[in-house]
Amino acid sequence: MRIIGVAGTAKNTGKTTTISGLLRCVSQSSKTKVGLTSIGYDGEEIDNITGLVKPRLFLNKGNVVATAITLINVGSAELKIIEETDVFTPLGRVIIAEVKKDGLVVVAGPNKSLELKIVVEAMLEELGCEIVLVDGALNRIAPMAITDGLIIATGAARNPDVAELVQETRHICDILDLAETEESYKKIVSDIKTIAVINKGGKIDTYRYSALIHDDIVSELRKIITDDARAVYIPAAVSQPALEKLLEILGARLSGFTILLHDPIKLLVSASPERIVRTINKVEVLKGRIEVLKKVPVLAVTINPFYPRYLFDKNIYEPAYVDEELLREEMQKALPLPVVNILKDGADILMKILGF
Amino acid sequence: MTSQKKKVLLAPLDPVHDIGLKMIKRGLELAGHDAILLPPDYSPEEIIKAAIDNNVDVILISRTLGYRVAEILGSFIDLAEASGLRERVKIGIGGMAIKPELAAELGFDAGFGPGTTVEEAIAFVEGREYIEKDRGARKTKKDITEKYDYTFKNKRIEKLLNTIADEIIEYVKGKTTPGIERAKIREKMFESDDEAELRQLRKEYAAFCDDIVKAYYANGALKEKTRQLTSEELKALKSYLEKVKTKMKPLNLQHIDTNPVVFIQYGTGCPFMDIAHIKTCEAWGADGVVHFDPSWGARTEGFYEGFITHEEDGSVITYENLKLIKDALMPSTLWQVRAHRGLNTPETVLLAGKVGADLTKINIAYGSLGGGTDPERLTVDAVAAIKYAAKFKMPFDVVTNEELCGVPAHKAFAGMLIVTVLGLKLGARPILQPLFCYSPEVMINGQMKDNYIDFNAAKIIALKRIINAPIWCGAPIGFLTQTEDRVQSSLSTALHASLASSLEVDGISIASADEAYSGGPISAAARVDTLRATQSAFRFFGHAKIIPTENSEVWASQIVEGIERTLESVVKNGSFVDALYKGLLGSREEGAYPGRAGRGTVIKNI
Amino acid sequence: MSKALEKVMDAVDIETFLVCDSEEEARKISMQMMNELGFCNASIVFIQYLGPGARVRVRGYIYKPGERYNWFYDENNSQ
Repeated sequence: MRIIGVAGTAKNTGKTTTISGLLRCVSQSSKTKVGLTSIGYDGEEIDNITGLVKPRLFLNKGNVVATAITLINVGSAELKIIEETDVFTPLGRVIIAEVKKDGLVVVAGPNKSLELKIVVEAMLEELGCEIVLVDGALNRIAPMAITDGLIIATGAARNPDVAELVQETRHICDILDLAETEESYKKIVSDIKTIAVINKGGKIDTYRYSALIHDDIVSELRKIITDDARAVYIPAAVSQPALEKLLEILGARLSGFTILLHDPIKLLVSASPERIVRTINKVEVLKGRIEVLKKVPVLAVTINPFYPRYLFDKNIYEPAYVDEELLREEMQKALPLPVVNILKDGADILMKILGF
Repeated sequence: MTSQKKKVLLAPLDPVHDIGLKMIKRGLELAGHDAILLPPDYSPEEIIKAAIDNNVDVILISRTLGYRVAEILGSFIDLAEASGLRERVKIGIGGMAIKPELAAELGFDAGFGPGTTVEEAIAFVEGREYIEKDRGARKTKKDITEKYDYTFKNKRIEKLLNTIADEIIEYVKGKTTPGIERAKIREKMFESDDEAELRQLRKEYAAFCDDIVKAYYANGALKEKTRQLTSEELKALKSYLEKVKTKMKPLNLQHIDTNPVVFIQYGTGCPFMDIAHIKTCEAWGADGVVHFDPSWGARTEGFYEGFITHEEDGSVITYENLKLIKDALMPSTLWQVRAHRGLNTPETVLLAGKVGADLTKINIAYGSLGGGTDPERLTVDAVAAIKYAAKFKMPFDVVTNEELCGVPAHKAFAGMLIVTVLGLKLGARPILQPLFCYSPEVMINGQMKDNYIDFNAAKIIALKRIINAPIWCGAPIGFLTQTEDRVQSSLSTALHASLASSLEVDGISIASADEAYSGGPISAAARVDTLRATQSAFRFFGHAKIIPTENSEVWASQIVEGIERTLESVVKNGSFVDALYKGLLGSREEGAYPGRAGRGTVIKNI
Repeated sequence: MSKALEKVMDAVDIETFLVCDSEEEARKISMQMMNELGFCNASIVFIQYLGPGARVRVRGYIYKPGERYNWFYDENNSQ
């Protein structure tokens, strides 16, 4: 497990704290060479939206960072550019640099899967990183599909109602935990780039779209789904409403039918986790299956009781906290995963999960 | 077209249509690309489907930032990515409050905030790396005299002027002044690097100075409220400038080519505050800066040396001080050092030329009738000064501030034209500087009772009927129309700037919004105010014109006739200098008093 | 001086509208307001009183020309 993504469910849920904790642990406990990049832009001193001070990422000498070239002198770390990639961000070309002097870095790396993969592989293969941490971005998770596992940072800043927060987290983990499909299907669809219907006897009908994101696409798909259809493979995004529409078309035929996705994130991006889970449950009730080619396992969930409470009368945010014990207990009860409050527990548990 | 034809999907992820996208659509089509503009308020899924169906290469999203927008944009990108679009389609985002940092966080390929040019968007579409042009480097220094040949359209006036200018040149022959002598010694000092010789030259220089300056050359004493800058201060200046210079991205005030260049005036007394204000004005688009020296400097024989700060208005002229300013300027900034009114006129032009100023300011009539210098002395000094200006190829403007004393425009113009022709005869390139002001003349005679336009227009029309020469309206434009209210003040400046532009003049000097406030130094913020107002006014008018009433033509004719009459009286009088004493170019009754500084100092028979 | 005010290039202008009964009163309130804000040597740049109150612009100089401007000195080479 070498590429670890850290995704925050909202601002101030502790994503940066989680990464900082991991970075600190790695550099303290071993000589592990860590790589760091971000699919967004992190490291601002003050949170853009709420005006509260945010921590920034500290890297030790010898570690590696992939960030936009315009940011290399913004932090206090001294960086030496090792490689200029062909990947661009709105803040300039992504470079891979080695930390020459400990300090804070500001990171904005590749923001799409394909490019993230190229850059991360260069960090692993060419620069000898043993592990690469990928910092997430606000409201985006799609590029995390290339990671080996995810740590989800959530907390009261996402929703100060603990019961609702726990339920949502559970739904996210459930979606990401969709079953991996059998080898035979993997083999069949390995070269297919568009939506494909797999029929009895192995006959495959392909379709011009690769994403199932619109009613019109589903309606057209209907024409190639015959009684012989056994499975449909959707290599790209699947929107929850489109999936509902597909269920409607399939009707009774859903029993024994497999809806095959490339990875669970292709479904996660489309709607609220709650609605997606409701649709998944419906498939199961109707004796159908939703499976994925590649899992993106959730390794742990970090929790943060902090949230910025908005004061209407003063038009400012003030720091506030939900009951930490309650949050932790409820979350742990709902999830078969480690639940960690980095500020309280440190990142040691995460290190163990990552195999250090 | 240098790149392949691209197919672009323009999508307003907004309930309303975005004008920016329409402009980009037009730009893209003109550049040979296909652009599809979606109706507003499509869902992310619909936009993505449209991108797939049309097989586009680029998607440009516009969205106004607001509540939950980051979430909407982030999930749009997520969906686009999960849909497999991003491997072949570039996605840009434009809108208010969009910064590159935000675009990076939201996962777009590019972010276009306010002020984005269509060219920038096209560069993104074509996959060219858009290199934001270094606006400072793009700005070029303009020679406002360049396109003028100084031919006279009014031959009668030309003849009169030639007679007077010839008389002046004849008059100054065999005459010198302490001011001219000091300039000559200073020239020698520039050429010498021998310490003993320099000591001797300083001694000679001091002999031609007033006591207060002599004291400096004797024992380093400076007059009260002035002091030398410390080396620590100079070091701080260096690092301040290094830092500021790397951050300069100056604006352009001009909207069309014929908008005049815009000058501001500085002279807080402290070279550092001056420099801070100059850099601020440069950043906000000023094309030129004018150095104001203290009023005592004009009435004192001789200059100090070294880096000197002054606690009151006006920044002390020394070679070193001027050098500090010069080194602080952007290469494109026009820089004027004024020499128009005092006892150090020749040396001021010499120093300005040596340091590398672009422009200077010389006028015998104003300097001796409104500036306090003896007419004979200034006439002799001015000829020497103009020769320096010619030598350094430094155009000079001929200001007509005696109007503010009450001298009617036509008399002030007559004086200005005399110095202009004198300048031409001595090989220099003069610039006419009529005032755009609410002068005593119009207050009394009512030419501005209805509007501020007609009489100002009449002045420009009159000058253009006489000679083909550059015109720089001063100084500052709208003088005495501004109040302490910064909005009124900035508006009045901007309107006068628009009038000047409409009349197709070459340059203007503008005030700050603090123009009418006399309770303290001008603030940097007040400078920004009028620069922004001027830029906005240029943008508003473009090539559209301000139309004066027929009064302007009538008054223009009257001004031309008045100039001719005045010049005739000077010619009839025989001597220009004597005409100044007699009030032919502005009388005591009108408010002009021949100055007394330097009276009797002209040295004859050499 | 506060760290923020050190960054002011020269002057702070406060612009507002005062509810008052005369220009004289507006002047008094303006100066008092500036005093309360910590500007001891404030001056009125613009004041216009009409019916409901006065439009004012009051200025406090942080630095006057010739003084030691803190923004001018780089942290590294200041005393």
